[in-house]
Amino acid sequence: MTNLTEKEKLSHKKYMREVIPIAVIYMVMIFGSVYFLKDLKDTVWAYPLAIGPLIPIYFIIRSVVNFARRSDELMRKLYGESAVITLLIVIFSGLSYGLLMNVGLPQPDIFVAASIICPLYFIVFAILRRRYGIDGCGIY
Amino acid sequence: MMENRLRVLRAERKMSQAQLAELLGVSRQTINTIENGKYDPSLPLAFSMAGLFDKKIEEIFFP
Repeated sequence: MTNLTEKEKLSHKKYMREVIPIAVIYMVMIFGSVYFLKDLKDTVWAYPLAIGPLIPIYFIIRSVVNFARRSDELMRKLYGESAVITLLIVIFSGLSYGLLMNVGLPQPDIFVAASIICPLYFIVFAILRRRYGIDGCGIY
Repeated sequence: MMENRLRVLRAERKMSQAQLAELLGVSRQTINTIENGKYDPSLPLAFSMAGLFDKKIEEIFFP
């Protein structure tokens, strides 16, 4: 995070100030959800308890979007291009794997498949940074 | 991509990329990529640069 402008430093601080408490709340809610679901599985509380941890996820998404909006035009372009390319790779890979399931590949675990998206985004982002000749390797 | 005289204009004013970035409200990387001809700035940013250097846009950027 060297050579950041004041605007970027403030934006980064604001982002961390928002995301860290939300991440802590998310962890608490995940553990709480799993813990209480054991006893309340057959009650009306099961559904709200199961999807409760999505509430902090919504706020994390909001913080990420606001962070991207506060970024300057080059970074916004990079975030957008990375997201589009990642989406296209996921669609292409999904379709390819789906077709290969016709010749015997096993049904993939949805959580494993979904967990690949985030690292893939950062790989694409890093490649695009190199392509634009941006030094460093962080999100800036 | 367009060519530009940003590096020359900045050097004439003895400004670092970071200082110019601060004045224009963008990241240092944005200035770096523009100077290296890897990124064309938006029209509002190009106008800000022109205003800062007291030049017309076409005196800074050219095809």
